[in-house]
Amino acid sequence: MDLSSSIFSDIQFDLIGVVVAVVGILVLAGIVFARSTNSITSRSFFFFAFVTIFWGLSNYFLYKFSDPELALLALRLHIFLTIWHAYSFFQLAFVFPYENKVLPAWHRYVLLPLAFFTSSLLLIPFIFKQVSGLISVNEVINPEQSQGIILAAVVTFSFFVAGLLVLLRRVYETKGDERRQVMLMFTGMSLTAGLLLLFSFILPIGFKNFNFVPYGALFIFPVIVFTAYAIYLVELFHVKNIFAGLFTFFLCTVSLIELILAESVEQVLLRVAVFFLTLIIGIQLVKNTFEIELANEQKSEIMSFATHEIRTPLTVMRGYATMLLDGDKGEISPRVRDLLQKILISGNDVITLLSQYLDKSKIELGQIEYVKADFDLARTVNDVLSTFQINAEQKGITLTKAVETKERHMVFADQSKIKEVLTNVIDNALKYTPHGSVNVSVRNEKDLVIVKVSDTGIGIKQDTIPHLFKEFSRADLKRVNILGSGIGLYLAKKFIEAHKGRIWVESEGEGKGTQFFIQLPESKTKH
Amino acid sequence: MRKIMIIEDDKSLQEIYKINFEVAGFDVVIEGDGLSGISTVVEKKPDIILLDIMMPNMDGFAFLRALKENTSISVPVVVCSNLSDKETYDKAFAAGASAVLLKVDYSGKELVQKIEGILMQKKSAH
Repeated sequence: MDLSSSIFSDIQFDLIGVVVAVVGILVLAGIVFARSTNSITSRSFFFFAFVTIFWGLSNYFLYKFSDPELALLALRLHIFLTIWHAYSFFQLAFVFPYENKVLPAWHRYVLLPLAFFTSSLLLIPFIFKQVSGLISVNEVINPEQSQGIILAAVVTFSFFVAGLLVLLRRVYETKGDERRQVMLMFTGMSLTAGLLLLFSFILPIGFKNFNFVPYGALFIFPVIVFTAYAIYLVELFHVKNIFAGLFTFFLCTVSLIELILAESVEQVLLRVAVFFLTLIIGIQLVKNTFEIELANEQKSEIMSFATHEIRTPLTVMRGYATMLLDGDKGEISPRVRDLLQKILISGNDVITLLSQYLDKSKIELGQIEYVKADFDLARTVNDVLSTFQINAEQKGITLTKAVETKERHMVFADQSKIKEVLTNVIDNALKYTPHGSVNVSVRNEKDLVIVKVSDTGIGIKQDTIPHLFKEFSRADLKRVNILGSGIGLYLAKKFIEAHKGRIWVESEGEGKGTQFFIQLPESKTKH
Repeated sequence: MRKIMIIEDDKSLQEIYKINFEVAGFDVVIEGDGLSGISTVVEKKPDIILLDIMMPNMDGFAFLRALKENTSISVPVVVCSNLSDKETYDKAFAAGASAVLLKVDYSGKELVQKIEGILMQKKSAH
């Protein structure tokens, strides 16, 4: 006997299909509903999802009864749910993707009673009189229909088509994000309609193949997934959230299969409790993951906005101070010039601090992005050095550079971030060098470009070096009265490592100066 | 005389930019938002535009789109904003900006030098 065919014949694929669909729909409906209970779209989605689950189950069980009485009952229940399924789809399409859309009076006084009236007819023999003859499991039941079947079919079909038309109209009415949402739901609905048409109409009616009919719930799955994604997952589609969602889905599927395989009443009760507990905890987990993500995004937006708002008055302050220094408003005395320069230096310090805290926040949220391009690192070093020349002269420190000018020192990196690193390291060298000199060199070594900043300053103790690139760790705060963010070198290390480079420091000890090294891979592009 | 149109809503920055560009020999046109900028740009025919992003009525991105879609003029636009996120840079370049500068990094004189450099590049490209 062929082993594989025996294994596969034992597996009830239709049951697995229904389990996967039911769990998936439950998890997605739970997540959407838990996130926003006030939104009419969320509530309508939840209603549609729940009717879908019961519709899927009734569709599956329709073929599992051999008793004509039970089969008739199952069929009536299934058609009852089909009417409400079409109605709930129309309602969802009507309110989608809005949060506060009010359902009109005709919806409440015409459509709802119509669905109620038509579905109630299934309780009497007006639609199905009886299921005649004996049937066997997995066979199609052949009910004796009555005139009412036409009414039920027309009502169901009308709700479905009206829902599709509403969606289609909304595709043309909406713009931007809303349109994207509607398009997503429309895509899901098209997939579902295609699957249902093929497997529930064309194959059974045209080819007498009823094998796929019990998979009905699985065919509804695309519209549920696409709509849930469109409602609000679209903005929060991150790896962490997908992982939490899939994890919950997997646990719930296993739990439901366990429930189906239960062999005693005690097991059923226990596994029902385990299943619902898994579902509730899983949904809560996904919801929390989403909320953390959302809070992070809001934090990031607030940081960006605050930075923008603080930078504007600083730009103005810098602009006026520079204008006065440049003599645009007449000659100024050396004393006023000195004071203006101090204003400018303090202003620049605030600008640097602000950028550093913004970068730190972005790194923590995993949102930092690098705009990389090829550039000559030696030129950037020159640019940065020129901004420190006056400062060095005022302190009486010799600021020199030793750059091999014959060759280029090309790197592929984010120039502004590398500039920040250089500025930070050179600024530190000047701050911690009360007298003497600071020398900056750039050289190519194999396929690397190395910048060395050496000073004759206060040096660093050996036991301080390992902590230097950590947050809020400043070398020997007590010895020198220096203000700073305490995150400059922390950021420098993060930036350089993000470029596959290395930054390190060497010092022979206190009073013996310091050498900082910044190493970046040479650009692979031929120049 | 080179003409620059400055689209900036902050009154103090308008003053700072105006003085600096006039000292450097520019003819300066000031507009307070994107909407007034787009309605006068064809008539004023600037050689270059300095554009802020966050402004009332019509922001910088909308101005760039309107310039591309509703006018046939070709003028370099330098976006100068205090927004420093990559999204702003990407959106500005995608909408047709020639350069994007972080406002706070440029004093008046440095900004003039940068704009002159862009105008020189444009001239040598023709």
